[in-house]
Amino acid sequence: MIYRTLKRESMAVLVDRLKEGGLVAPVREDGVVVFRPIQGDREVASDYINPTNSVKDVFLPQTESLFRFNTAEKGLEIEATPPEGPKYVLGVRPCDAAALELLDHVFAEGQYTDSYYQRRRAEVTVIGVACDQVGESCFCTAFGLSPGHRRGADVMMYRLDDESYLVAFEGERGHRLAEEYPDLFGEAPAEETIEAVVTSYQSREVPAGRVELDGITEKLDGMFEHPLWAKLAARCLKCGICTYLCPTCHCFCLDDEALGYEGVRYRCWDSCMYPDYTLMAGGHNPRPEKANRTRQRFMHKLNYFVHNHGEFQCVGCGRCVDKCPVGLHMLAVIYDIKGVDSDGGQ
Amino acid sequence: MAVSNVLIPKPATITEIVDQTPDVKLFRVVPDDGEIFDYRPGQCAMLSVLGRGESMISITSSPVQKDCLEFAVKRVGTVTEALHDAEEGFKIGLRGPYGNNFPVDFMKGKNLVFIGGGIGLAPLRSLINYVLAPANRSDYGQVDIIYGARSPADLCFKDELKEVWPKAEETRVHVTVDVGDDKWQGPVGFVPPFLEEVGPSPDNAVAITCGPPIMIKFVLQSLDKLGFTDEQIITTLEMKMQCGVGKCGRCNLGDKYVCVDGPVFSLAQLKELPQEF
Ligand SMILES: Cc1cc2nc3c(=O)[nH]c(=O)nc-3n(C[C@H](O)[C@H](O)[C@H](O)COP(=O)(O)OP(=O)(O)OC[C@H]3O[C@@H](n4cnc5c(N)ncnc54)[C@H](O)[C@@H]3O)c2cc1C
Ligand code: SF4
Ligand code: SF4
Ligand code: FES
Repeated sequence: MIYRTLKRESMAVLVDRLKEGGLVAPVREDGVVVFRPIQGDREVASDYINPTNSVKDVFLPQTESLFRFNTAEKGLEIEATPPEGPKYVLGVRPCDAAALELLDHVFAEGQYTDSYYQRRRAEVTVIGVACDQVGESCFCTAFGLSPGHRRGADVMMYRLDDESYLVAFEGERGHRLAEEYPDLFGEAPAEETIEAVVTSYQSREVPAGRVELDGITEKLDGMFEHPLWAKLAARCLKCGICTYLCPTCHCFCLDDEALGYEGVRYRCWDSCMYPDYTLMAGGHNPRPEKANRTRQRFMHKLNYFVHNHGEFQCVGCGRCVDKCPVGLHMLAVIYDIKGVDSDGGQ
Repeated sequence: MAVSNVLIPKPATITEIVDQTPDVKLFRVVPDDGEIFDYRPGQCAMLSVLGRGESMISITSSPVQKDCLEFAVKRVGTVTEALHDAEEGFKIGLRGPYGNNFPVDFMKGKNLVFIGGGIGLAPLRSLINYVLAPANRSDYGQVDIIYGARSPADLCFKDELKEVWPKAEETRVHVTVDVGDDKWQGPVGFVPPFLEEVGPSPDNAVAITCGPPIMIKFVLQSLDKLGFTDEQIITTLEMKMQCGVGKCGRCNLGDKYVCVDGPVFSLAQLKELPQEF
């Protein structure tokens, strides 16, 4: 870990330099802040709680080509598509950075790993910005995170004073950034100052994060058949926004597109909230009802994932809280689960 | 740097196609690089028809057969239809093997009762031919193969049912059809009551069953009546699949992914999982 400082006015210079290597950062677009590739004079936004889309987009793009194929003359050629992506992603909130380590469990660990994901993880430097504003929907502290957490981030910036940031560089990618631009970063402040600044962010109050999760996984072990799921699911519109915006949801489908002999196999995000997600040839569907799918979404995040990876599959980013049109979101559901008797009495 | 990914198949060629039933064909497949992956009975592979998509199919050949991989495919939708339209020499994409396998070690020294329905004989066939191979035959006891299909025309692997397996050492083949025809002289009736009629003993036996869900449901009841315990019953599950490697998220039962933790489960294991299949 090394610390440096960065003058506010040097931020624009940093952005300009990162842009050359390929940069994704939050911009204001049609009234919302979203992560986008930064080209030309595009202005990086700084006044946001969290971009509408998550940093997942950089590592598991909504649509990506896996390979191209050519079947001309009754042959078959398959050519892998080198994974594209930026070299830097800037403006990442601590919850999103932490979510990358949850995606790692799925794509970078175990018997099978996804080399495209891994390559992006190896090559993209994640530059976080600690949160000055805590949103009403934020509940990161429920998951042991905080507005100043550094899990999953290579670099984290904290506001030091009106003129400068305190910048923490971690690991190989973080250190490389510090070394690459020595002219931009100033000497670290005194240790007590660092300690005070970081602690002030890490101990910042996150009101919605007071929700207590102890015992919820164990309670859910016995709630598979609970009437709560049907009650919750009744209002779901099957829009899938919750899963698309979630930085930890990773479900995808594979799709071919061909014109003549040539074509591409794409990987595209999918959603467990869609009826055809588990629809099999012949019409059988193991999760035919919204209740089955709602159960799947919340069981996966609060129970199955915990069994498989030892932690919840949620970082409390609050996107589903803000964006589900019918209020069927993680925070509400946690309270609903806590509020019912696990045996089905309400 | 060469780019690769677990989700990218390798080119392979369909070298032979053998009609089985009006809607099932057997495909012999050889990878274009000549390297047939090692696999165990019960494992599956992803077959791609480029431009159409990809399907998970059980490897119906047995590992003792070294010259090609065999897949029996029922025509039900986009990819399977395209495979049925293919001719010998057609190029497909192949990746695998995927999933767990039948517990061949646990079954050693035991009598084996195979109960199959329709295309469900495909995964069982891999194990049957593995067990009946000279190198392995003495590791296993009596083999009973109980199999049924809708009609005589719908029976898969007719040659082996008629000519090969009945002649194998300590092996009995029992075949039934839901509805007979002019030429059919064998038993008529559904698999579960037929199984009870055949009445295999549960003593030192393992039952391995695969078929349509409705058949499995009643076969399990019949096996229970015959005295088989949940540990003695092995079955395979089918779930919608896309990736086959535990990442796309859709094939789970609780915290298990059927593509990597299955498709083979004992009934005892299945009862521990959420009943969502
Ligand atoms: C472990 C396992 C082993 C199988 N073994 C065999 C076999 O030996 N022979 C055989 O004929 N069939 C087998 N199946 C079923 C086979 O995978 C489906 O029938 C096939 O994928 C349908 O594809 P389609 O494109 O023709 O149908 P469509 O309805 O057009 O399906 C579109 C896509 O959805 C997915 N899909 C749809 N139905 C299923 C399904 N039932 N299971 C898995 N994915 C599905 C596939 O990716 C498919 O390409 C097996 C399925 C599983 C899960
Ligand atoms: S965002 Fe809300 S309405 Fe849309 S699928 Fe998710 S839970 Fe259902
Ligand atoms: S479940 Fe909701 S709050 Fe949790 S990480 Fe996903 S979008 Fe954020
Ligand atoms: S098929 Fe993708 S997780 Fe099992």
